[in-house]
Amino acid sequence: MQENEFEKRVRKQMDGFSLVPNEAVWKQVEARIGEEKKRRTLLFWFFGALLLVGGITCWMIESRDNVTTDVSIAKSKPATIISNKAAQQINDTNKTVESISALTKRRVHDNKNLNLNKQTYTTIKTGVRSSVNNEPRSSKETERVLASNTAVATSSLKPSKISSVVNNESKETALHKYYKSTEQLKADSLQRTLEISKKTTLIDTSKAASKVAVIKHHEHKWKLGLTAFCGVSGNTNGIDLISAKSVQADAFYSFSSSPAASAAVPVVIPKLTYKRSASYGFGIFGQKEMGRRIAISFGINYHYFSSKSTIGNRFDSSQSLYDTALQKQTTVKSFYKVGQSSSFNNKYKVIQLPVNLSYRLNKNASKPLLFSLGLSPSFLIASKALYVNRYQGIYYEEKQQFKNFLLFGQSGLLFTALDSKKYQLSLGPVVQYDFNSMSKWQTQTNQHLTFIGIKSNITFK
Amino acid sequence: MTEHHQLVKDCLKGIPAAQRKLYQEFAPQMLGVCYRYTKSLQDAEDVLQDGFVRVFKFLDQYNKQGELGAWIRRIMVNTALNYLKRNQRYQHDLLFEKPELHIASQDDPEIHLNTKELAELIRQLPTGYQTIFNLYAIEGFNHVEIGQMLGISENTSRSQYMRARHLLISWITNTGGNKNTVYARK
Repeated sequence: MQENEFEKRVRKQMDGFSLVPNEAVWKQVEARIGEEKKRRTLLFWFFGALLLVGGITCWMIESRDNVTTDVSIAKSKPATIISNKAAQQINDTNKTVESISALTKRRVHDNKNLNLNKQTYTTIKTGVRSSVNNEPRSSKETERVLASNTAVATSSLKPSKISSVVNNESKETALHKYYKSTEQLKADSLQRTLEISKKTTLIDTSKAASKVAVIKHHEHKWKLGLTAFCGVSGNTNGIDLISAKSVQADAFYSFSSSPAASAAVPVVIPKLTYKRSASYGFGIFGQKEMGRRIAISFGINYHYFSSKSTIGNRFDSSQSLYDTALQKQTTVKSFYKVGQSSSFNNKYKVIQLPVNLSYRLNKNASKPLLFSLGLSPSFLIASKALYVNRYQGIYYEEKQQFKNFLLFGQSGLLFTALDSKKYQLSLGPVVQYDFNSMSKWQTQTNQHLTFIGIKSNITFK
Repeated sequence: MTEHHQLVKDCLKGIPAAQRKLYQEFAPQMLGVCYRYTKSLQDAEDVLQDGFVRVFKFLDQYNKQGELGAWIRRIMVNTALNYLKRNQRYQHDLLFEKPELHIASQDDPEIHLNTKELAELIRQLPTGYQTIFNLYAIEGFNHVEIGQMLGISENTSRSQYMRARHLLISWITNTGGNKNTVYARK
């Protein structure tokens, strides 16, 4: 229609039309901007705090594990500590016994001299007597002195502190025959214990140390692995994770061209519903033990999502459309009308960069049961999915309806099914959810990809 | 233009004074836009509020090639359309009839009304007519675009516009702005 003067006049007049808004409007705008800013800031700090807390937790757990390892080493070599104590006691005992032995020798020597004097005195008093006759007396006297020394020794020493040195010394004197019969047995026993404990200690400590070293080496070594998963995927509008009933083009109402105004009924644009469909993926990952129970892993995965939509008949006629939502001119070769006659398989190909923290739930380290939680920054590399043109009431494929960047969260359990020397095979259920809607904001729809399936990991040792 | 670019930069930095300045500069004009699409000043202010929140939210997407005022105006129009679609009070009024015979109206009457009076007359149109009249006569969209924006055919848009135009001219010329007489004629 040719524009005439009326439109020009109206436009000119209306261009200058302005009204002063109430001051409250700005306050509300300001408040909402502030809320938005707060929300973003809060989100930023939330994730920052989450990372910080996660990092601190890992660090603390690792530190605790180190302490635990030290304790376990200590527990594994109690003989070392005992033997050290025993060796110290033996040293003390040796010194004491040496002094006792010296004292004993000196007193024995004195006794001999005394006997000799007594013999001389007897010879003088009773005449010449054979020195051989003095033997019993001398012996008795000696025994008395030695008995005295024994008393000194036994009173100053605990039986357990007697060492083998005593044994050697006692061989030279009758006193040590006494020791041999009582305390020396204990000393021998202690010595044997010491030797055994020394041997045991060497074995245990070396074994424990090597074992710990092996464990620590394995703990801090990056392990590579392969992952594969399959299951079902769907689209949700951000509320229902499980049912995947789906996204509709919000609550937008169509402007129907009803036959008559009286019969006009609001027509809601039919929902583009999504049913779950097959999904699979594979990738590689590197895993590192952060502690006895916690591990972190990084990887790269290819993930294929799909979902089915029920639609109407297909029309293979090229159309040039201006989409006011995306504000772009689109030429479509074919499009679909609303209906229930056919099904369309929406496909989404995504590259994911998963970061997972896994926690071992059971005590058995060789066959762990792992709970994993993580995030996957992801990139939509290809898509073949329907787009709802709510103004035209038709569906067609539109690549530009989606964002390129997606953020998935994932969680799962992994049971160890096979544990060999070279690799470990584990599998279990896993779920994924796309936190940020994959639809561009202009489309005013929410589409969150979900995935539920079974995951299998092969970790090479 | 450069001043606006600087203003946008400052707003993107989150400087409250810049945000307020941008609002103060464009709010009166934009309230005029919102007022033409709604039936009450309160609704217009609601649209204005939603619109400016979106302006600040998506200001980083302003490409600085075009005029800032035009960009904001486009956001206001879209916000107003969404508001009409979502608001229960407007939904039924937005139903469009099947295109009927075009009312041939090539009148170009002089408008002896001031801006406010003309705006009030436009607002007195049924919501569907009002929306199409605003989009075509004032915003400058063609009927293809309007059809896509409102989910109606191009012909429906054209027909509805002609009826709106005829009605408005009738009010302006024949009745001196008395819409009740025009409604009675319909």
